[in-house]
Amino acid sequence: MHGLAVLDLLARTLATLVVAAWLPAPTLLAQGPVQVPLNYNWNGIAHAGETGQPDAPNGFRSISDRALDFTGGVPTDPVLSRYALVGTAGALDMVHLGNRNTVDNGNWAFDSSPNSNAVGTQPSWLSNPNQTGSQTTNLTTPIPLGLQSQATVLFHVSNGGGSCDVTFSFQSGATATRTITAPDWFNGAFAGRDSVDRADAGNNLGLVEATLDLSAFAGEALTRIAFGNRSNTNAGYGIYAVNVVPAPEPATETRIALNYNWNGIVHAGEAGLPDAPNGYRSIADKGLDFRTGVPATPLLAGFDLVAAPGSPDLVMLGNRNAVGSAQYPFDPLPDGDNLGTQPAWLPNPDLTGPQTTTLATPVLLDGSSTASFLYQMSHGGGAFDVTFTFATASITTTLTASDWAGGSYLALDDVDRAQTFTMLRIEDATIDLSPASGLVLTAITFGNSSNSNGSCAILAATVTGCLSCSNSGGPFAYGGGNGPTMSTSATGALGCPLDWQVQGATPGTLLGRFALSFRATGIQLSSVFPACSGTIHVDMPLTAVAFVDATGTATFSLPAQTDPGFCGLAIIAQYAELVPTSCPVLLSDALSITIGN
Amino acid sequence: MHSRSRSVTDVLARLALAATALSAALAAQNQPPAAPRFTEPPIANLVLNPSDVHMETAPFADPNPGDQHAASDFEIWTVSPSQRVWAGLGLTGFEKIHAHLGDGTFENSHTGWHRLFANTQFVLRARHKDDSGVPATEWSPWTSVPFATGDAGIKLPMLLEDVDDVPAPTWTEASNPSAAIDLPPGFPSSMLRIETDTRWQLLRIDGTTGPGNRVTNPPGLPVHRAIRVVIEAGNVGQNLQLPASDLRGFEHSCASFVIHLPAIDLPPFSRAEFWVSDHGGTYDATGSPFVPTFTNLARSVPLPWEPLQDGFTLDVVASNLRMPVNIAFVPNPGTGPLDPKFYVTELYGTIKVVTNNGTVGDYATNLLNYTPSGAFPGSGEQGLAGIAVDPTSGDVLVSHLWRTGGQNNPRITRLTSQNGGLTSSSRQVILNMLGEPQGQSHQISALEIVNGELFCHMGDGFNFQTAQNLGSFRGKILRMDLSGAPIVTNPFYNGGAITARDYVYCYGVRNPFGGALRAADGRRYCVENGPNVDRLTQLVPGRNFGWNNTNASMFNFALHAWDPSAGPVSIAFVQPQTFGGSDFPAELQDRAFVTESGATYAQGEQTIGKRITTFAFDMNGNVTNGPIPFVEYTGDGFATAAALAAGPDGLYFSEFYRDAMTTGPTAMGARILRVRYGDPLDCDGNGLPDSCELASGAADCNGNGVLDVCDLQNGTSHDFDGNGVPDECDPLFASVDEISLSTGGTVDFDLDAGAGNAGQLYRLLGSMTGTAPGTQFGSLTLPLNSFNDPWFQLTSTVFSPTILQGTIGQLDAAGRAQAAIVVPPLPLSLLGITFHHAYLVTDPATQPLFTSNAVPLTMAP
Repeated sequence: MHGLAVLDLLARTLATLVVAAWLPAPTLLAQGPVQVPLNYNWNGIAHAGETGQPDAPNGFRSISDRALDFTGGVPTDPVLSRYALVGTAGALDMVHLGNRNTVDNGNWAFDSSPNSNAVGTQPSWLSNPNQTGSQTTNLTTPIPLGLQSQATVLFHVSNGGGSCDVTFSFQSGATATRTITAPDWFNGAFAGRDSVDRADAGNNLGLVEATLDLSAFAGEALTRIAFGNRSNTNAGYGIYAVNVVPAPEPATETRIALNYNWNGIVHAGEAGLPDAPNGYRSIADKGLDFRTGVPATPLLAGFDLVAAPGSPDLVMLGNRNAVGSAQYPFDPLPDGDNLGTQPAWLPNPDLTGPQTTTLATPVLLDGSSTASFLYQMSHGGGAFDVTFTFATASITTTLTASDWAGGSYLALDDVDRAQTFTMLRIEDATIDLSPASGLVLTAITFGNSSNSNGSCAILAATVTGCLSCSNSGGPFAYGGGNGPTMSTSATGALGCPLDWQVQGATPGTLLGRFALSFRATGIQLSSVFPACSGTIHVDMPLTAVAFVDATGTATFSLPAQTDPGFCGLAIIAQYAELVPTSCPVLLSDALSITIGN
Repeated sequence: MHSRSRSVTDVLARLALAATALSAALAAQNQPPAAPRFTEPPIANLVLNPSDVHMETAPFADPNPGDQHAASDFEIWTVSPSQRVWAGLGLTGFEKIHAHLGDGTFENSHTGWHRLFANTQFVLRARHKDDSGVPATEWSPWTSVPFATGDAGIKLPMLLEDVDDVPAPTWTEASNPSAAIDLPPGFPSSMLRIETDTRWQLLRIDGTTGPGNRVTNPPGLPVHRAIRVVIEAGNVGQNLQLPASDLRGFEHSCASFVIHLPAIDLPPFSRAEFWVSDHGGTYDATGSPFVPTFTNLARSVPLPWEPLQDGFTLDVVASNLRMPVNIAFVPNPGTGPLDPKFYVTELYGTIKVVTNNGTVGDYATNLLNYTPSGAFPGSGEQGLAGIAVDPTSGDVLVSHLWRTGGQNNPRITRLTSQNGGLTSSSRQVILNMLGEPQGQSHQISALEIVNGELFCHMGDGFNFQTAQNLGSFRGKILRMDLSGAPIVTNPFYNGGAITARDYVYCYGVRNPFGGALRAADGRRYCVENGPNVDRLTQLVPGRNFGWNNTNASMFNFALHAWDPSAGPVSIAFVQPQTFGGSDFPAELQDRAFVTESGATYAQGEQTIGKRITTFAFDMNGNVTNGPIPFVEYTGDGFATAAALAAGPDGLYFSEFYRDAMTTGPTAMGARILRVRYGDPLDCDGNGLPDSCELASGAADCNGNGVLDVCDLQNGTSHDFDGNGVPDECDPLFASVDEISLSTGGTVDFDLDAGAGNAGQLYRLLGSMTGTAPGTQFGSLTLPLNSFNDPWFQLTSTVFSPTILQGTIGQLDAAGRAQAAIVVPPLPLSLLGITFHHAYLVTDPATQPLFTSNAVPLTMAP
């Protein structure tokens, strides 16, 4: 693509986005865990101003006789810092599972009226002290789950500790229940308060961070979280936060053109011709029946399978002359039986060695990269290895398969004659390549079968990731701001989204704009507004409204572009906002992202 | 104007030329390497294992073509205060791009530590150095990545990125390490594989039709990941049945790992999956296939303790004990295999004796006249506690409770033996503290004999007022002679009718479980349990330590306060005066070691407790560093550290509880373990098994199967010339490096110029003026100075064949020869002078071919 045409394309994209940016709900790239806003039902953390007032009508109450001490704010701690914890007084700040009137054998039942002891009265925010039933949080925005999805729960349990259940509900209606367990909360790493609702300085308390694997629900969307079923009915359970690792943002999917070495799927016109010199041959004694086309199933929809006859359509791993205890060796001459002769497209039936596909377009792995395969294996199934080759490293993984018989895909039996109907299984597997982010995948190799009596067919493969450029790319900070900062989670890789995030803008302002350009300049803002510092680095920019949230943060995102012509292109962004001060322009640092590896 | 214009043109032209030249010069100059890029940690703000921080960078990059990666610096800083706490500087070899904590040195706030502080924010930074030799530009800029550490006592996954081919991994039966696991073949074959949580393969083992397995070991991965083990039954004609087994291997730099697999019984076509903890325990992964979880134990680590300092090992010296509280070594043990080596008190009234050959027997039983029947933890925590051995008689003194009049009163009993200390034959109560009832925990405890005086630690009996009452034995440290009579110099001794007051050495203590003498300052130190705060104190005569039922009072005179409580139980000093220092290295001598038991009967690894820590002191008895974790619990069971004593060959401690869950805390099955310095499989104490180092090419020039560095350490070889190579591997070997002027002597030389010099001529020469700059022979330098050097002249001329024997001659077919210098008695004026000798090899035409190293010879009186 001509350079100018690329610029035109991107400009059109930018212009579209500028328009789109006026619309509500600009998307944020979800890279880290989602901090789930729990449906708090209890004010049970002692914040500044909440201690020493056991009978405050609307104040703090312990879930038993103690509480976390946040009187100095949320403690600085690497675990706590990952969660959205309530740092202010006078608000519900936890999910309580228990009954304050019965916890610890009823020692801390609410007073009926205020008195001078440490036990308070039932607060106005608590309609019913019995919170032993399931405590549910409905998510206003469902969280999509992926292969790396997990939930972490931050909680503790009084009076000897115990377990409770966490039930996750999904958009499909499915649910999953997991049990979390904590020891007694006494003597942990976090400052604590005692004296029940008086919340005097007390012994430290412990918190447990339970991790629950949700990867089995990849593809689902989480809609609800509920806590219930206490194992210790004498204890109070305090659940402070839940984080969920969502599915990564979808990246560009590359359907790999595998280096097929076998015509082993029966396409139209290929059945009934066991000795056709250039025709179909089974990898063992059966073959998938694609005579009416590739079956329209969700499993196969994400792959490119060969739909036409007369060409190799799978990667065979095995030896047709040895498979099935050597029951299906090629005939030396055409003889009309079910066993065909060695076809012209097969120079050597022994394909037990490594079978390699070199990628025509290398894939730059990113933080969401996966590789998926369709395959099947005859005669008992087994395992084989897939090796991903990069410029500087390699990764091998083992895929396993059950015997191919008895699946849900139409197939044809009778070895190379392909005549009798049968059913076969197609296996699928997805491998997480995200930890190899930054590596460029150049080849995929299959080998090392664990079943010397079976044949393996690899039908298709896809890899998600960014695309590789020949130039290096990435963000570059120009500076130039007079307050707000600019950052990005993007690497600049082709085929992956780009984003710019400004922090330090005026919360909720409607007067902020993102300015983007393809060229850099260096105009002192003081040349326009003498009272201002800062440098304008965007040259002849397009602008988009910035939706600044309550924390002074706004994000501008560009969708993934896959055209190699974009390689090397730099896009510079800067945020500007009108403010009623002597310098009327709040200007962020400028940040450019060059598209490349 | 024209000339002016030409002049400007000339100036510009000259400037252009100058700029061109400058550009060329700049191009020729060395440019710094590119700043490293961290591949581990791959992103900022990860929470890492404080004991195991992988620091990896992408390969070296440099704008100067041809520049090579010479070295790297790695540093770890705390964020607050901003202080460097670990540094691995000038790392070379594989460590240039992959460093571990063991590759550097802890410093500042982490001095003496072997892991990072838990739950702390850090910044890791690294830089690369090129081989240009240009100091100003040879280093890259620093690259930094922040991270935090998690809890120290949280079970973490084992992280691997490779399994070394050499030495090859092994998979053997747990009960018989010489029996290899041989997987059966089938269609498909049975299989074991180690893979990451992302399913990236690290090792694959398949059954074969022949003996042995087929091993697939792919190249290393680009990043460390949590690992799991998958065993596929395949279809082998029957269930796949395997015994409990251990899978051992090495990662780069000979870092070893062991995976403890359970016994397997799998139907055909099924599989078992296990997560692996950082210490090798395995856990069922069925319920959580992608996130490592350690809930369902499959097989625990056999010895759930780990020394944190390289060079130390652990072993079990006694088993099947029941709540072992204290250990006392026999001060002057016999040498026979059945002579008593140490005694152990068990809480419920038995004294065990352990002999030199490890036999465990009952020395005495029924030291309690009641059965502690209370809850555990709770009122069941009482009974027999302290123990000391009279160094003169070999009698055993113990402290325990004894029920009298419905109360459990403390007493000290002396036990004697008629059979060399193997069993007790009689007992005598030397101090009976009637009317001083004690119950759970806060009871009579530690005993120690110091210079013939017996110290006894007394809990407050759960009555804090007793600690401030000099009329009570409770809440005190008592001092008496070995007959039980108070020492008259005790600070409150007032003669007359002997009362508790006469025994008091110091007071105001709550639950002083442990005490020990530090010989370096002659003071005893005490570890004491408070309600929520524990303390380490120096016991000063007459001092009131102020226990008044408050946590605040536990800070009184505390050299260290555990806040929150860690449950310190015993204290022991490793010191030269106690069994010669227990074979510990010099830097750990005179240090205190403390068992921290943590919460009662707590299961699994713990953030607080279940470890041994160490403290360093200054000359005045102030703690200068500590507590530094020394040994930590790494298992999944209930064992915790209680008793502690410095023995002749290491530091001994007890697991107070049986590690495995059986019938609860009072079950039999606890053990005594020994921490020893000097791993027989790691002769240089660098934490890397010798076998792996040798297989990886570590120097063993003499081929004796021992690392050169160990040959030199243990005296098998010497290195007179100080070149770090055993002399027998140098071209010139000398039998001695010192000779007596008064008596003279003979120096034997072995010359080995290599087979390539076979048959050539050699000349052994000497110098008494040093080795540098040496003497030039053609293009070769003989490392002997010759200018104005009389010894060089004398050896050149072979002035005396009697003295210089065989110093000139012809090398044999292997390029070897022998020579000797017979040194007669010489005048003392030569005292301290060092001569050097080396040889020159020439061809018959006197063309120099080879020069040897120089070996020293110093003149002694």
